[in-house]
Amino acid sequence: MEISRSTRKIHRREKTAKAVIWGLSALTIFILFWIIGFILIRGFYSNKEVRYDFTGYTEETIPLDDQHGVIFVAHSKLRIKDITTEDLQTLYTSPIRELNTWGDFTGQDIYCKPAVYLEPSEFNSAVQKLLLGNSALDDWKSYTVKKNSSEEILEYVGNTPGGLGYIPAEDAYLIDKKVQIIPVRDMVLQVNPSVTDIVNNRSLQAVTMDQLNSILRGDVANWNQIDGPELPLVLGLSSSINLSEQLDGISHSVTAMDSRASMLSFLEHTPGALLMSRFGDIDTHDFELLSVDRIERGRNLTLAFILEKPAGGDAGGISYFIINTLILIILTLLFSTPVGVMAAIYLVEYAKQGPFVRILRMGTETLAGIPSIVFGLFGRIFFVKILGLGIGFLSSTLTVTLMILPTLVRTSEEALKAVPKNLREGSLAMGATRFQTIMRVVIPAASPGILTGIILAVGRVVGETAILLYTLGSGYDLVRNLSSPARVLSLHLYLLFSEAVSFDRAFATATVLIFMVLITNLLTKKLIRKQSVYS
Amino acid sequence: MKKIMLVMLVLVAALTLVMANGQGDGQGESGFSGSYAFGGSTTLEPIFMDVNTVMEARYSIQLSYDAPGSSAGVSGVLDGTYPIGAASRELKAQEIEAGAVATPVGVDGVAIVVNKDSVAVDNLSIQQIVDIYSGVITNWSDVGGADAEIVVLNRDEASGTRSCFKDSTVKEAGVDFVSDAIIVTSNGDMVSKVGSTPYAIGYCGFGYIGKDGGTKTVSIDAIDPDEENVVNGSYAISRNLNVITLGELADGSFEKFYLDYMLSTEGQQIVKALNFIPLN
Repeated sequence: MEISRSTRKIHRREKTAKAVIWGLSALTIFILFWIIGFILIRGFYSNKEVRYDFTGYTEETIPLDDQHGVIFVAHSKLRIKDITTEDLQTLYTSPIRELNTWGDFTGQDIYCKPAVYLEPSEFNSAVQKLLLGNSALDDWKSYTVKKNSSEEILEYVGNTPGGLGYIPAEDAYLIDKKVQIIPVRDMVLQVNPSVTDIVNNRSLQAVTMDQLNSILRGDVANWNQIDGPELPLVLGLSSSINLSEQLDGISHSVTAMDSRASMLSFLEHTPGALLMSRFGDIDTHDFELLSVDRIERGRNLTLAFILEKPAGGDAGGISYFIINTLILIILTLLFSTPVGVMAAIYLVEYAKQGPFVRILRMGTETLAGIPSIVFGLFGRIFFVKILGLGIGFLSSTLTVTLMILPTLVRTSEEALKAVPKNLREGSLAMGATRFQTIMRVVIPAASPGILTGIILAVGRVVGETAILLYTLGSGYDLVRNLSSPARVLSLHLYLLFSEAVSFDRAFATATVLIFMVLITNLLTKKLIRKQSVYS
Repeated sequence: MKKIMLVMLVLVAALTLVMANGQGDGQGESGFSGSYAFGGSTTLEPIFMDVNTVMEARYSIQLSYDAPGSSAGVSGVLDGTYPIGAASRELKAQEIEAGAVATPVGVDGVAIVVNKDSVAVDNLSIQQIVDIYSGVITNWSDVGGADAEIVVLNRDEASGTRSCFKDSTVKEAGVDFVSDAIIVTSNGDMVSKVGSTPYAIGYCGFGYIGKDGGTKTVSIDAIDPDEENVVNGSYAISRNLNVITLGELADGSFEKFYLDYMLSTEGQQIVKALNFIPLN
């Protein structure tokens, strides 16, 4: 009776212990997969809501008048989804050639090379009015290329990376594979001021594309259905707009207007008026634009992102940062490994074990545990300022070396200590000197442990941000010499996130970092296995 | 071990090549060469980034810009870390005494931003802003929003945006900032935190409006934060964007050339394109 009760108790304990251990380990595994999975999914796919002054409806041909239209074309390598008329204006009128890149629109660091019709034909002046609007610019920028016919424009755009041009819609049959047609978003929303009135500190700022679709289908009768004021919604449409391609059923109770005057008076005199018109139809300063929120989905981490050279935070790729990271790792290892391993050999093999060594050991242990930002502070003051090395690669490499040195010394020390004493004694007994014993017997035996230490150090270097923030600067270029400011992956990731440059790019960079660490780990596992077999 | 050494050797050789290549094209035809690290205000960062891009495309120089904040920019200029610094506030008396010189390159307003999805409020009076930032109003329902605690975000003390915001709001009202606000370290940090924190309110330079999709601006006393309203003086919170140097720059130096470019027509077009307000 007594025995069986205690046995049962033990059984119960066993079971609970097993359940708890199982549960906790399952939780750990779940958390690990959840984090990695989240980062990888966000790294590969993006899904975000973006606010524009333009609606999301695209057209390949923008009508200039009743019969004529214009088609915008670009070099086929550009990753354009669609573009607004305002962005086209920017591309055609950007005053500084070096800043006129496709970066903001396609993420590619390619100069925009706009081309126009030279002939002051009716067509050209109509497009010029569309692109230059009422702005004071009376001529194209000096770097704009002038051409005489559709054929010439297409040839130029097709053979020029970053080329941008336009042709009359009736010449569309000339378009070949070397150019792509850019879908243009030209429609904007304007409202009667009563719609955006501030009531109790609130006002309507934007509608989503879904809401706009239902407005156009006639499903929204009152602004309060879409978080607006209590006001009937009156829809007006510029007669140049034809949405039959984008929407299957458009509301029949729409007032179509064809003159600027009628649109203006509609907006001015109709409470709750919503006018969808073309960007160039009426002066945008007269009435405020109602913004449109559009959900954009797409691939995030692409091969191009990894391979292209960086150009600012929101354009180009990260290839230079990957190379910079590798160079940083190699340089710090070159500086730290010999020193660290030697120090460990001294501490284990040569030094007399006494208070001095104990203090040394405690010192390295403390240093190994100090947050890296303290090293960053030290590096900024000592290397950058006192030694005058400036913000750049040398200062940061030296500081990072100092940071990983204690870890390296400690792990190497443990590895050396783990070598059995009788190995050393055997070697010494055979007449080998102390140095020979260390070089030929102890170090080979300890090498898997030392390597593990080095790999841990690599891990810390890859993930280091605080030090680099203070000592490396943030240049976008490849490291060219030891004094150049640069970026590495972790720093780039931090800056992308903290400067709100782009969450998408931050996650894509994070994914690359994860894979880099994964590859390093796999490589070392292999190395260590080989080394163990060898020794 | 031998293999590792071999790999290391190859990598070192590659590295030497890369660096030798870098030194090869160090000298440009313009006469300017080398690398320069500038730094300071986070508000001026986009301007410096664009000017750096233009300069690097035209001359063989390498430029970088760190953004630790206006005060750090001024002290960086004074201790020689940065040949050119930037501050989005005016210099203090002791900084001028130490030799710092400020040259305005543009004007900027400070916009109030809130979390777009959770905050329904689109307008605040200047008094309500003062009350929120001094801790008198702590719930959105007091200013027309949902019944939720206001998450107040403030900038660090090195920030010129903070001192400008402070001067035209809480300081003018004779009160102090609420002490338990979340402190963020840059304009970018501000908009990304406001964009990702429900019920958050913060402030940033005009150049950062719309940089984070999760934020929206709030008008102040029904006046929208835009260039027009700053120029005509109706918008309450604005300041100069200053480039900081140690004394006057020497003629013919790259630093002088750089600053002159910022003040040129082209430089001012860059300032305008970034949603700041050019001089004149």
